[in-house]
Amino acid sequence: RDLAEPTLSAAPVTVAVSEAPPAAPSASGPEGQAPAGYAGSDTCVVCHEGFDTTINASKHGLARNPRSPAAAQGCETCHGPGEAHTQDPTNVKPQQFDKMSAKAVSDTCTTCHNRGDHANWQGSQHEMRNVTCTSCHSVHSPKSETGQLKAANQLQQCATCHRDKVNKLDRSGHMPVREGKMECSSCHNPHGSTNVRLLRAGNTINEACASCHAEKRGPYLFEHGGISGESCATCHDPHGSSNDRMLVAKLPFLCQRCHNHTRHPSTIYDNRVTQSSNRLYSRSCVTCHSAIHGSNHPSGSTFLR
Amino acid sequence: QDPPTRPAPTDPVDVKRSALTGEAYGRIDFGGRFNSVDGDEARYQRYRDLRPGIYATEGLFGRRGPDWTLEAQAWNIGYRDQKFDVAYNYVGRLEANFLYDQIPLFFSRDTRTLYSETAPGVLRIDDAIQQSVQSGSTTLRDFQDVATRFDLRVRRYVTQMDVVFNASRDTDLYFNVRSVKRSGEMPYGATFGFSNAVEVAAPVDTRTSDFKTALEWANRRGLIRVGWDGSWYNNDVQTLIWDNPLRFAPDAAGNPTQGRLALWPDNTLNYLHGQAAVNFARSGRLSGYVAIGQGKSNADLLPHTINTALASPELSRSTAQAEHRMSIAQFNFSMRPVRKLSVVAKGRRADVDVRTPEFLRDTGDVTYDATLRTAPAHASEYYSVTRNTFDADAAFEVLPFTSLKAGVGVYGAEYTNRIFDKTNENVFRLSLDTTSNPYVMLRALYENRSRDGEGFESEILEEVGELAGLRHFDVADRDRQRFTLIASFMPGSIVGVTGSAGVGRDKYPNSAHGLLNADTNQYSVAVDLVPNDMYSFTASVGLEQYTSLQRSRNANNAADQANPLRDWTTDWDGDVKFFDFSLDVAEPIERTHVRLGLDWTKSKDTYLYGTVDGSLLTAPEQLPPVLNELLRGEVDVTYDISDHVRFGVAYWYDDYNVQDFALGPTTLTGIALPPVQPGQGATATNALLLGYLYRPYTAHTGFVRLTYLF
Repeated sequence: RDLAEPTLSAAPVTVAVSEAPPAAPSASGPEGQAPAGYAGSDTCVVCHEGFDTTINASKHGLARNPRSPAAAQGCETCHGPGEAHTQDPTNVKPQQFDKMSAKAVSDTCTTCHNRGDHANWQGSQHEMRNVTCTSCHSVHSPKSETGQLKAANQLQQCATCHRDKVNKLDRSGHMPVREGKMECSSCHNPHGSTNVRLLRAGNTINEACASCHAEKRGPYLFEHGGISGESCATCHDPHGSSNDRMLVAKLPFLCQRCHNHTRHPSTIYDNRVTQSSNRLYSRSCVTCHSAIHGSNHPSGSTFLR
Repeated sequence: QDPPTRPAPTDPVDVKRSALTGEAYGRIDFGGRFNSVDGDEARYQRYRDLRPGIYATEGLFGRRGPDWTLEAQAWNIGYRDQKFDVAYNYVGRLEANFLYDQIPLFFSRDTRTLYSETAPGVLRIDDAIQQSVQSGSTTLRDFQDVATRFDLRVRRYVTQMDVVFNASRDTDLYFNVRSVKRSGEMPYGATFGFSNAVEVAAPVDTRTSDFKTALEWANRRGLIRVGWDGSWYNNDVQTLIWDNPLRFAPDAAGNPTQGRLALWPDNTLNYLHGQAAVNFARSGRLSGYVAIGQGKSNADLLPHTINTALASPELSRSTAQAEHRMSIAQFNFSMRPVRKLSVVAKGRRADVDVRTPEFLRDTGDVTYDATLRTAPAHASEYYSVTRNTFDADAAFEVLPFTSLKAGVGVYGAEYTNRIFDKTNENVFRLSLDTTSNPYVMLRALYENRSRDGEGFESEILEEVGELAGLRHFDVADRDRQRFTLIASFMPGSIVGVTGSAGVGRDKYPNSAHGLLNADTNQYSVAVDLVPNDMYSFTASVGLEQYTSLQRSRNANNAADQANPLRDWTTDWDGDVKFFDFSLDVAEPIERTHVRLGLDWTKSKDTYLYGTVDGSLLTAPEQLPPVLNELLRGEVDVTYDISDHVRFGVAYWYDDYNVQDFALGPTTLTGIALPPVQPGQGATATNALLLGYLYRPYTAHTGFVRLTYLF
């Protein structure tokens, strides 16, 4: 066949596949013909005009990839055999994803999307909350430039459910998400991960953060309890906060949530000392304890050096 | 016939993108940017480069052949936030992606300092200034005007290459190489004592090099994946030396004329990991993941002090010899024993074992490069932790599209050198999720968690002078309840309404001090309206409330520590209001598209001190609230001159207001603090800062651009 033709409007291809998706036949028909029960994508687009164009713009339409739907039964790779539908379009419907249960949709998509970023979908937090592929993605009507999302971008898509997190990006302390330098998937893999919290990198929260902030991962000669091996999110809100450095509370109050040492940590710093106490103004506690994430200085046990 | 949900594209780029013709396609977007910023220009730009001038905001070039695709994109060429991306796909064989991305972080446009960097990591002040201040004839505040004004910024340069080689129908080989250079300066605290505050622009010159590779075999029967992740962090400036602004010559007390601290040391992190999964009947899948890793840092240790007036104690070893060993093992079992029932069980063990040898300081240490302590100082302590978690959930499809899920979790953690040896947490959760229904989405979750510690060791606190009694909110006994509800109604294709509510309650019932409770309430409503092909409107409004209560005790000796009349509290009350909307109008005039957008968020945080009845403490004077308000408006109009040429104008309005008692200009009135008041001695000045403030800005930004699509 002429591979230069748009694929889904061409006759089904005969690239050998070792595994067929659930809805696909176990064997292809004769060369250039749809197998039994299948109508072929050419037939589909007679009525469903335009679908081939949108599909061909995506990886789904690249027939040279033996893993693509175009390399199997085209439209019917995902929607199931359509010959009966062509004979009785009103009463016989192929698989319609907007009418299928979340699990059934996931089963269909993960027939192929079972590796790489998608390898941990099954049993993931999203899957167990009845979220499915078509909750966020649209194969035929994506609004995003990449990722075939139903919204214009990841922020809008994720805000559908996680509006509280997305709103935090407008706080004064935030990561460069609203500036377009990061997106939700920079840190999270919504399809499941081997880390906690659907984090993409590393095996712990700290390691995910340290994948960019490597200077803070240590190990150090002196380490800060509650940070080493624990969670950056104890002190920082990675989605944003009104506090400097995305801290979950303003200094010195955050430090005083743990530290009740005699003298200065257990002192009230009130409005009388805003301009005279270096424990309150500017950098507050980290004015002195500047190596707060850990120190390699032999006199750095309290992170002053 | 079902109509297409999306018509075939007419945009020439999209049309060519869908055809495997080998013809080039793309777009070039270029024009001019004009802006006017009143106030803190650095915070306005922050992670962007919005300087006025000619710019090419985006360029795309692509070609698609029958067995390959190529797309190259560029953004903000020539600016500090420029980005380039090239993606090549030899279909079914190879996917390669190259990325070069610059991410600026602009701290301040008008920071000032008396320091100048005479060598990497060495910051000096004019000797005459030090001498004058030390003599008492001047204060640092007298030199504010001669301080050098400079831009305080740091930038990341990310270079990354991802390659996926499709070795066979089921086998992939992954390579990822990333190098991130980070350079510039950042504000950093560098002090010489309790009454002294020095803020310097610490030099940043680091590179992180990551290499990841994995081999994966996957098909419908299962998956096997093995891989290696390596990361090397190198810092070219690991030592910071800086002058004491108050002292030029050593005095009899041995006070330092300069300080020295250790910046971030080189480190490495390596992981070997493997994953295997097997699929079986009834949508069953059992997967296991193991990873072993090692983090190391063995930088040379500095002497205890640079102050030659002090006899620096002997180092018990010359290098850090710091090491973490990590091991992670987990399994995930999921299955649908009957069509409407899903079960999932997960277990995880994550161990961080700190292997760094104890660093002994038997001959003492030095505080602030100023005070020599010859008595044995505490040896280093390390915080190994092992976390074991087990979760089991069952979800039942109670109605079409609707899943009711119940789950339990048992979480345990074992610590070294924390106030608890162990913590145990029991979790119960219940959720109802209606999704995929075209008319309604309902998502509700209730979660109850209860954490208790074992083996409380108050001596860990007492031996370092802390109050006895439970706190440390990350491990303390805690009762947590969370409820979230999201309800979306889409009665027709033209309108959708979403309401959400979230309530969280954290209580630390046995904590004597520290955080005692933390509560959140969140509410929002969003509306999407698409009455016809011409108009598309979205809006949302919401309120978030945060409160917490924490307790402390002002105590300088054992008697005070035992006296509850010295207790005081901080009651944080924060609320955030937000509103946003966008309106897209397609072709109000032929070939024209108009977009209007607005984002507004306002937060107010009040920290209210409280004392007990009969308190022995002076009644506190309350701090003013911290206010943050950001308003961003946008108008974007485009006109299609032809199928290939588009003209556009855009205007952004940004207005940021902030009041902050710690970081605002009302408090930080200069780089030297406090301002000398009548009657104060000349040496009352105790701080030399950079002038890095939280200040408002108002910005107007205009764009004129021409887009050519080919």
